Amino acid sequence: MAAGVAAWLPFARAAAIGWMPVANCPMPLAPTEKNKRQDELIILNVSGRRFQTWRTTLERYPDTLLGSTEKEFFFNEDTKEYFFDRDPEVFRCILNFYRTGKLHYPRYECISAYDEELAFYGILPEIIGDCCYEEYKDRKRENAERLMDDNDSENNQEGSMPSLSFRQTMWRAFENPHTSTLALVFYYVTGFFIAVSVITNVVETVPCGTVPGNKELPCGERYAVAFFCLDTACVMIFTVEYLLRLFAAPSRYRFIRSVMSIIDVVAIMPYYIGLVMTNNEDVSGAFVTLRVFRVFRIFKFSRHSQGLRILGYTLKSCASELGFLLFSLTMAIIIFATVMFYAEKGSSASKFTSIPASFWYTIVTMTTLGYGDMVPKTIAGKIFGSICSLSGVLVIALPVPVIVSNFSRIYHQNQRADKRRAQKKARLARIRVAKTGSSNAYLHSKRNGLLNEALELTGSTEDEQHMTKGTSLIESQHHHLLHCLEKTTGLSYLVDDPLLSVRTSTIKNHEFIDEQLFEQNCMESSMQNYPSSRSPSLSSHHGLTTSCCSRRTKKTTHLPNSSVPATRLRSMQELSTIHIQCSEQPSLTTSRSSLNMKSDDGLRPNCKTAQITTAIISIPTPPALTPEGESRPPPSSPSHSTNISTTTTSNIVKVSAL
Amino acid sequence: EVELSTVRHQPEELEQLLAQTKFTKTELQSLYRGFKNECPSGLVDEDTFKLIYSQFFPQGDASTYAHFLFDAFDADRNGALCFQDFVVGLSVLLRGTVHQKLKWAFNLYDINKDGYITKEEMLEIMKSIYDMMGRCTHPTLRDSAPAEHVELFFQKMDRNGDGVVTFEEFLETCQKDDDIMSSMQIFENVI
Repeated sequence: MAAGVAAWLPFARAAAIGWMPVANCPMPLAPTEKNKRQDELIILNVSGRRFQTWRTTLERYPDTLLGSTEKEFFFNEDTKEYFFDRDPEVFRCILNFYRTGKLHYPRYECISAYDEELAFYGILPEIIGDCCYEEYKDRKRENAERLMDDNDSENNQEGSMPSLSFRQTMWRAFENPHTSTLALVFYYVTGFFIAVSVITNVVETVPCGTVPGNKELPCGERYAVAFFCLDTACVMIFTVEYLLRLFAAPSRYRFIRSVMSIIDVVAIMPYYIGLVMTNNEDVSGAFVTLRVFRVFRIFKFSRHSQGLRILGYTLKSCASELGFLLFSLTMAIIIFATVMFYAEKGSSASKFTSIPASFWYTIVTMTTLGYGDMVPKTIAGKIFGSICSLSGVLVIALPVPVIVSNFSRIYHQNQRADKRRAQKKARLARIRVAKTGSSNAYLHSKRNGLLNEALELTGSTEDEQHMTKGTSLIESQHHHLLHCLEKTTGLSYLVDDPLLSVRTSTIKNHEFIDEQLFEQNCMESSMQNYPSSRSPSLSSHHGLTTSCCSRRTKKTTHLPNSSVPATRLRSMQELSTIHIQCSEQPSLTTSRSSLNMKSDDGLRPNCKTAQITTAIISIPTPPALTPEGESRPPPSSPSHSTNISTTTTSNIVKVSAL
Repeated sequence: EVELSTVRHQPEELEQLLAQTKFTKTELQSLYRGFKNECPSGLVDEDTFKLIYSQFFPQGDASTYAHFLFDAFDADRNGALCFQDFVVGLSVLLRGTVHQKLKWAFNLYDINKDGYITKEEMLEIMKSIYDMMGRCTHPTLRDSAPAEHVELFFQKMDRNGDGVVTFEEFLETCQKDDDIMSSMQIFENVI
């Protein structure tokens, strides 16, 4: 429970007096405080710097070092203070956590030192407040990446690696040319051939010399054979390289889908298609067009250039901004082209023959190119033309620097927003878990409390110590408060727990519900829902729960504080009478025994005694609702439960509550 | 209306509070430290109060009952709880006589503070209490459960059957009921 809430607990308990006259049954006894001390100041000496605080401040978080009895190990008898040989700067933040309930991460602090301190004091880093959590996670990620990089480079420098297979060595060689000389050679050779290929493509088209007949030939046709040989050589090298990479790739499917491999394929395909199609004269036109794809070989350089890769990546990530720019430009172009077309329609011999024809004028004008091949002749046309060029300056020249500076900002921000969203989901999930933990804890302790009473009756006192778990005083007081509320209203909380089968019968003002009927209701609803939600994941359980609850009450919960999504329909509880059952564990089916394995360790020894044991087995509940999400085929559930009902043995002992 | 963000409310002097309540000085000191830690401005408004109270009842909706509680504690009706309201109320609840406690409870149920508890008032209170339990309970919460509970209450309390419960009737019935008497004492040692 949060620190703040603990401070208000006495108030909430006192206010519970308001329920007393309304309740129809007596209230449970309050938990006694064994040694009630007056609040005292304790001194914490951290490497010489003395901090002082109230004892109760520290006890707000009983599962940390300072809040539990673990700090007694650090108690110095001579000076009557607790001495910690740790960093006092970080301790300041930690102590503030106890005081305010919020853990902050100081920016000047090294992340790993901070983590160590948190681990020492038993504080989970997840508790860091919203104000500092993002920074903390960022720093942690950076640090992790740095460590990983360091590890990688260490590994690279080490000569001896755990023996990699030939394939893995090859892959490493391809990805990191600096690993071995051979890889480096290969890297430079392929780079050279890419350059050669690109240059031949370019030079092919240059006219060099004339042939008798006064026709200027491009070099490609004059020295056709030479160029063909060069092209073949390059393609062979590229093909070999591609096949080698394909062979070495750890995941071939992923490799084939990657951008670089697509570029490789596109670079060499035209050649092979050309080989296949040389004979056919009709499609040679198409073949020529294919040659244009050879220019994609230049993109192969991106394997060699880190900068190119980063540019490609940033363009990809900034795609939405660029897309918007394009869209707004298109809008402006269409508007102005239309206007210019209609303005110039009147003039004779106008070049603005149609709106699409005017697009060219608009683009050339807006980008301030102004080729001059199309000019407006009418006055209206000139006016609109000048407006077009002015607005072109605005539309194009302004956003470009903004976009350039935006994209580093937006790029980082996007990443952070996604991260925050993902973190938020995870944190909310953890908070939900903690809340169910607290309500589960309540029911656990209630069961323990009731068991304690039962044990007192049966006289087996030696098992008592198994029962009492280490719930803090605050927790037991909170549970007592919830218990009082249950008594007032005559209802009881339902939380799923395979062991919470402390069944108590009702008195007076609430009715019995037939177990079988209840179970049937639950199973029906679960059956209805099961076909729709195949996965035994948590979400499907939520669906099952809410449907079950809503089926009964017709209202869905709408409350921020309710942890209903996390509670699952499980056991039945009625008040004031306890059934204690003798279980015969071997006779239970495996699923039941697996559930029973989650029982308190303290309970299991009891099963061995022949007398009335405190082994608690769960009542037959549909296996589809197991919390750990084991999937069971739906048809088996009815038979399953009937199995269980027959195996529950009959030594039911009814013990009335005090 | 009090502006909580800018005003820092100072409580009455320690001596005055000692005179008004039955707490000892150390108890008052520790109570104030907790209070001030939670509400540095010195005042609790109704929304904060509802938030705090709701944290104790994660499965249900405690806001309606918290509203009634707030009205019961806010003796001077200024829309905010100051430390004095808080501690005077607590003193009645924890250190008061049974008579005073019952008077406090009566005051809580009497929503319009006219000295009579009508069935409508009681129904509202009852519904708010049941709301705190939430939806997933056993036995399942029927919509008629609060009304039935109110009927039971009135049968017990309303002696002359005039449809309202006065403080005398309330006091008389409660003093005769052992369960209620004993449960009034269970929170003796909360502080």
